[in-house]
Amino acid sequence: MIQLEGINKIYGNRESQVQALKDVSLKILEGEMLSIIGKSGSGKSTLLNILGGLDKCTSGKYTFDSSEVSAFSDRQLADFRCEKIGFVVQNFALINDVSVFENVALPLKYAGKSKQDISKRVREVLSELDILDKESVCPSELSGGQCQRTAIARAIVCKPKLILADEPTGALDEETGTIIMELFKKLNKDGITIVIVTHDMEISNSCNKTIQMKDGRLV
Amino acid sequence: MKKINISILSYGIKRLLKKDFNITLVLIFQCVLSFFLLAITFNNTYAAITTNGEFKEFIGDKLYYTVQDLADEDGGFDQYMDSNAKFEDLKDFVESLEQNEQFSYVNTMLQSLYIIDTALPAKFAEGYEQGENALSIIREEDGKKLLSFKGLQVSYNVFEEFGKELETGEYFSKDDFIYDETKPIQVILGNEYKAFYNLGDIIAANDSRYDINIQVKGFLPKDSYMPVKGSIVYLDRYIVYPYYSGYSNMGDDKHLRIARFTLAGRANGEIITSDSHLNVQNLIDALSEQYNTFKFKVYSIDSSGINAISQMSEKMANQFLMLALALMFFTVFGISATVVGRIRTQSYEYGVNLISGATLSDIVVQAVGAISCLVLIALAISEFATLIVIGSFGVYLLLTPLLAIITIVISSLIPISSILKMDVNTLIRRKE
Ligand SMILES: Nc1ncnc2c1ncn2[C@@H]1O[C@H](COP(=O)(O)OP(=O)(O)O)[C@@H](O)[C@H]1O
Ligand SMILES: [Mg+2]
Repeated sequence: MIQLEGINKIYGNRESQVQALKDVSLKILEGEMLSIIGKSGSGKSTLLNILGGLDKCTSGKYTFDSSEVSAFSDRQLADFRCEKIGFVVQNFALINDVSVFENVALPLKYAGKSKQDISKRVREVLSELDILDKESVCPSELSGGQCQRTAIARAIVCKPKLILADEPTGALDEETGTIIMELFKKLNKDGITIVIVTHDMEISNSCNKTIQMKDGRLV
Repeated sequence: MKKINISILSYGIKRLLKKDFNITLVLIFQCVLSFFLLAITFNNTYAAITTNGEFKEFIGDKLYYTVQDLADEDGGFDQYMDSNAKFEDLKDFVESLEQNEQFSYVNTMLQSLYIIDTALPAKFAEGYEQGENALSIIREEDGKKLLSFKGLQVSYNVFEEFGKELETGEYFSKDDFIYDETKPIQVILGNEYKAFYNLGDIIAANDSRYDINIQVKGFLPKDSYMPVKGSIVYLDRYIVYPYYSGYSNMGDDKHLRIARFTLAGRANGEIITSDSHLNVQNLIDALSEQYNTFKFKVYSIDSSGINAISQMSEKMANQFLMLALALMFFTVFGISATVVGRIRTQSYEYGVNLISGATLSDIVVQAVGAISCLVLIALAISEFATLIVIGSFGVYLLLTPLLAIITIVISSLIPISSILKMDVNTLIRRKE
């Protein structure tokens, strides 16, 4: 499904350059649950951002289902993020002063869905994740676990093929973390490809494939 | 190319404007206030700026002179009144003055007119501004009440010379300067008369000798004025009527006498030129010699009031511009700063939008949309308020939309650049 060939990413200007990714080549198959481990600063998030079309690689080729994402325009990247990718990050990336419903509805709005479709689909996803009763509550009043469920709900609301999770349990206690991991496993079973960045060996062990990064390279 | 997604646009705009809604209200208020003040100031100076344009060009730094005949000194005037030949000579002389290319020659004369049995308010009456109980200046004749109203007689070329235009109606034709008993006398009324008469109205009047009918041929714009013998007369409450240059019925003895009187009056007009006193006197001497008519003395008159008026319009225009720039600056600055501030505090939220399928240009559109909304609301309010205060449609209504567009464009620049500078992938990693 995904093929990265010789991906390089350089941040910064001439004076202070950081090469965050060095010649990364990688294949991800449909239905895989892949974990990426590595020290802080090794380039995990950068790789995830490039996979998710949030950032462009400096050189290299990125293909997703036979489209060349590395050649996409900003608009195409935005549509790609909207249609194919669900993001889950450590600090949840929720808008704290609008309701859970509004947070989850945002990608559908960008996808140009009608009001009825939006409200139907959001409720569907919220009940799937067991937080339908919280739909009109703001994230600032929710527990960490509930926040991450909301974030996952938003990630899957457009039925993405790929979920990119950047340390999704990093801000949660162990018990809640386990529950969230169970959720990811369930989503993976339903056919969504998942890439998880983590420090936690237990989490990486529960994935069906693990890659390790060091200084911007795969090892 | 995806077409603009209205629901996300309105959502983004609401997010930008609703945060600290009080500040948004203050910005709208500030914007309304500057548009409103600018429209009002503009409206007040616009007339002056536009009508003064040509006037000023003409007046420039010119000098004013009056011409006075010396006919009485040697009994020449009585001879003139009895002689057709001398009448024709003087007529040629006056025409040569009017057609002269070296200076402008005009006749203006403050001359009140009586209106019969009228209920016009006292402000139009002669002497009103001097604090006299103007409406008490009444003559009773054959049971008719005659009230004296402010009037200004002008020769044909006056409006052209001073670059004056009408608000409605038409300027006098050449025929209007030929007195004809059978027709009403055409008059042009000052702007305040608009509330009392319409174009074409015929009004019973009296020129202090005979009953006449006057007919409204046009109205002057508000704040019109005219240089009259070296000073400025504001015409809003004046009746402007022709300084006759001929009579239709010259066979009639009465009319012949009036014609001769009038012509003598027309020979005592005003000269506007950059020439020196001495040169003008020499020129007039030469002409009076050439046409074999009276001697004339040229007097220089103080026209500092007139020059002050033309300088004033320039000053007003400059002040208007300064005020406009200052107000625009504060408004644009206020909007820019606030929107940029909000974009900064909302940058995390924009990161969330980006992972949900937004592009940076979507966010730019939302920011410009929010600014446009704010400015357009202010525009609507200020247009409405100005219309109520000024009470009539005018060019000022076009000024504010123009200012609004400029405001939107300039206020958007910094917010747009601050959005485009946002570092996409660091936004969502940042802790809130
Ligand atoms: N936006 C950025 N600008 C400059 N340098 C960056 C940026 N993002 C990440 N980096 C650098 O790239 C390297 C990899 O960072 P990152 O991908 O966040 O690592 P990880 O997620 O593994 O901790 C680090 O040295 C980091 O400082
Ligand atoms: Mg990271």
